[in-house]
Amino acid sequence: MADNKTLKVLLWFVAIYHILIGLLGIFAKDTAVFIAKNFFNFNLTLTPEMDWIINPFSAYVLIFGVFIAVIATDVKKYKNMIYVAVGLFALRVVQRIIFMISAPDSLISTIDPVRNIIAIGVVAVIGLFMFLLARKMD
Amino acid sequence: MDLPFFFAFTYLLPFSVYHVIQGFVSVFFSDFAIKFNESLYGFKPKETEQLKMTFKPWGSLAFAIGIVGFVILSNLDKYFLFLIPLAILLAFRAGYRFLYKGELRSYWKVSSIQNWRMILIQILGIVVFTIFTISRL
Repeated sequence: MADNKTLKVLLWFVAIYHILIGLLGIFAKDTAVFIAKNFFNFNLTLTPEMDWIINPFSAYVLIFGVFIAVIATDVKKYKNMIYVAVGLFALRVVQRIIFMISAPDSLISTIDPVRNIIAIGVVAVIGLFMFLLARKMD
Repeated sequence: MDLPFFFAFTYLLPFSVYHVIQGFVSVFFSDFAIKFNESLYGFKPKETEQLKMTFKPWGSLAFAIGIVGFVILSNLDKYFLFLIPLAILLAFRAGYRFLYKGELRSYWKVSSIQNWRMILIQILGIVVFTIFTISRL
């Protein structure tokens, strides 16, 4: 039972994080450069292409947050959905590592690389905890 | 016959297939994703380096939403609440297409017919998902 509570807290944290990032992208697009640099190690330049793509991208981030919030309302009933979220976390960890290794230098932000590794680690740990707590669920 | 169920299922199936394909292509074949979106939506981007990098995280979200769609399809009555965020997503996408219709035409070279066709498809999804959700509350 306590594990379910921990899982719910974790899911609400993930939900609120995504909802806030999505809302910022939708309603305060000028913060996108800051968010990309500090949260995703991405040196974003707002070209017309990027200016457009941020719109649907932010909507997807927001909606993912809402999905997680729905899961958090009944973790037992929506256990299968937790595994989808864990899969996405795993994919994102792999992507961020590949980005660090292979992206053109011009696209990698000058933020301390250690900070980026910590960020990747946090995503991996959250995903792992979600997976383990979902499996252990009573 | 349960019409709300039939329409929700019929819309959600291609919606999920589309998201899985779009997500997979964007994550693993971002060069091809540019061509894929051009043929699907008429988008003709000029700067593509950042775009290709952005396709990867966006594609993974799209892929996850496609998988969520399939999980919903496995039991629509159990997972009907997840159709609300999907309807909101479609509302955002249709809204952006409406608000930016001038830019889509002049910069991205998307024709009015292509744009309105997508808006109508998205509005149809909002209606279908909303009616099904209301029918299950």
